Amino acid sequence: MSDKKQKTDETNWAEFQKKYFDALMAFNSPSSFTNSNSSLGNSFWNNAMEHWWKSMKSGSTFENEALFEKVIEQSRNYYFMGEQFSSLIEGISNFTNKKDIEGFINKKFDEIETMISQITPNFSWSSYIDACEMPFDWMKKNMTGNAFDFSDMYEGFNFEAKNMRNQFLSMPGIGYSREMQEKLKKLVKLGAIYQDTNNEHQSVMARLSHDALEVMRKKILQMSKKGEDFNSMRQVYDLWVESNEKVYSDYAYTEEYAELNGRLVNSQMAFKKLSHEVTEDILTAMNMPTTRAMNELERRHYELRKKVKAIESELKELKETMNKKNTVKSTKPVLAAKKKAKKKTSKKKVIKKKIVNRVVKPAKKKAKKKSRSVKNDVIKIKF
Amino acid sequence: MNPFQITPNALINEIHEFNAKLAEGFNTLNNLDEIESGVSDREAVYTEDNLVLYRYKARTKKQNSVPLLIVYALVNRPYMADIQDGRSMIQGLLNEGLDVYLIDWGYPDSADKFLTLDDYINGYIDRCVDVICERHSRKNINMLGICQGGTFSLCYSALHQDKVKNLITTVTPVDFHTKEDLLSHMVKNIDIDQVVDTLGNISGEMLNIAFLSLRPYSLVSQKYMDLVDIFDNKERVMNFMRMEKWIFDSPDQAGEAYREFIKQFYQENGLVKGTVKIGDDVVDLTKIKIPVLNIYALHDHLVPPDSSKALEGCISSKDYQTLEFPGGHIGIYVSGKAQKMIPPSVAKWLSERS
Repeated sequence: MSDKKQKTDETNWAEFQKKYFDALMAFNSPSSFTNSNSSLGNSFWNNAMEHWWKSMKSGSTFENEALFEKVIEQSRNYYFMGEQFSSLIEGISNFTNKKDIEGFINKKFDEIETMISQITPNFSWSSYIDACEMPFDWMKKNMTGNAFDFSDMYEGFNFEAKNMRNQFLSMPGIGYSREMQEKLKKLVKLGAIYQDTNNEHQSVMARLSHDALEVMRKKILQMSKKGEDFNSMRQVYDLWVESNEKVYSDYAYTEEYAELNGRLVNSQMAFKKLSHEVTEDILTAMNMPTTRAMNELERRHYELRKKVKAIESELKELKETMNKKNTVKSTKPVLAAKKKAKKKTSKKKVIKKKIVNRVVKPAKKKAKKKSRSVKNDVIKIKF
Repeated sequence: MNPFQITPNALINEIHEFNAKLAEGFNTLNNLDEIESGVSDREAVYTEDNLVLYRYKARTKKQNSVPLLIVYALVNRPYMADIQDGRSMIQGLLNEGLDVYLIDWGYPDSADKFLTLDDYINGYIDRCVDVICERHSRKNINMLGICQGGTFSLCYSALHQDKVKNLITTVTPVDFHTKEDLLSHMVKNIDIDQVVDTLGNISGEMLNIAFLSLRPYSLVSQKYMDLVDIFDNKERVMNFMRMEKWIFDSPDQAGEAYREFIKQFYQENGLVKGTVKIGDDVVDLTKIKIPVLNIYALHDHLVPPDSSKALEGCISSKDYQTLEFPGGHIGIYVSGKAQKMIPPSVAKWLSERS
């Protein structure tokens, strides 16, 4: 499609970095980007952006800083990806044969996967997200936002160390402070369980991101076969998002994930709950206010509020009833006057009325009975 | 063929453009107008604890005589239904001649942690309904529930049917165990008692995380890359910011009510099984015989359409209609398409029954 264009640009890769600095000038504003000597390693785009962002941030009061930080984080992702794929894009232009192209894509994907897996020997989700700030990093930070969260304490513990830890924690408490010792050991144990579960969760996430790269590789090979192509790095980024989302979604619906997610939250909560208890014990010993005491006060306050509302509601009903009764009383003299007036009517009319009364008698009786049984005698007023 | 038709020049240009937009974004975000929370004129007609009942100012001379109460969810804030001039479901309803009331639950604090669903449904909602009935000298009103507010409206209608003339549910979960319900799937093995006993009220942040984890890569990553693309358009950035503000404006959840809702509705699927208990009463949806209009969104990732559609088999109403909106959970209130479709349909359906 654009083979011709590609050939003309082949030699430009040497100037790639130089041109990038020109591109960076787009960031330039009166107070920004003055230091072009920032250390540019493999991540020169990231570093340059970091430098720009730091200089901008320090020079202004920025209301939407938190939001812009999120954008910057994703830009890091984008640059990171650009850097990983630039060598693939650079190298692939040397091949014209279909098999060679596919072979090169496979080779480069292997390299990317290896590069990612070598970030730490025990490839963990957290180390990967440290490299490119994945969504779960942000989630983890927020989920564990707790003064007593030392969930990273055991990160990197090897098997032997874990065994030692477990042996230590199974030793019985002794002496005067035996109960507190037991509690603290249980706390450490729960912290360790949470950390193990968290590590398990992170390894699963890492596995998923690895699987997503595989999905991406297959999709790219498919595109190659179909003659479809990418015209921008952004399209590559979007494919990365799509692949990750698909792999994650497929897994999230499994029973395995529901079980793991449950264990993760439950172990974290168990740890937090006991850490609160230990804190409360210490505060109680110091005669300081505790959450337990606050809860009790709030519960009593809630019950009082409920009672007040119930009383208010009853009072309102009573007032309404009283008002209606008062209205009935005030209408009684009027009704008496009407009765007197009725007596003065002509005989003919009385006879007629009697006939009418006779006809409707049963119904009237019923109505009278009913009106007696109704507390709010609105019907009586009508009579 | 080589699927990467990206030349070094093209790549450098792309980065150049991206950087330029990023820099422009800094200026755009620095010079944005204040983002309002709700745009239509309204007055507070009743307050209780953190709750405020609002009545919106009429926009037409002729009005439907039966007032409409909007019951919003406890999650997020109700101004989503009135987010922007021209993109407001409430404005649409007012333009159609409806007399609109809205319950704003406010931000529950630690003093609210013992509030139960009974307090919300038989307490707050019922008192709001009484206030409206008294103001209009009526025995019943029309009710429109949004998402979880729709579930509450269903419970309320089943328990106080004499006070609801017509019921409209929008993107309302009914069957919490449908195949596509990822939220329900993710919460099924969580010990909710332990969560509430540990945390008391559930922070809005925690709920945000749960919602974002349904589509983490799109909602935490890609969305902000898309923002860079529109940094040169202030109006579009404002729209983005309105939504962003709303998404992360998440009140905490009263602990006890949260415990009851997650256990009875999500974990036990009690609404369709008829086992949900609100106070001393069991919610029996078959008691609902009033006219019901059930509106759901075809691409809803929070409340799958099947979850809402299950309502048909649960109630006894002979006057039951559904309306399918071709969009998502939020789009049904804020999209341009929704403005043309939802308020007129609701108003027409109500006018035929009021």
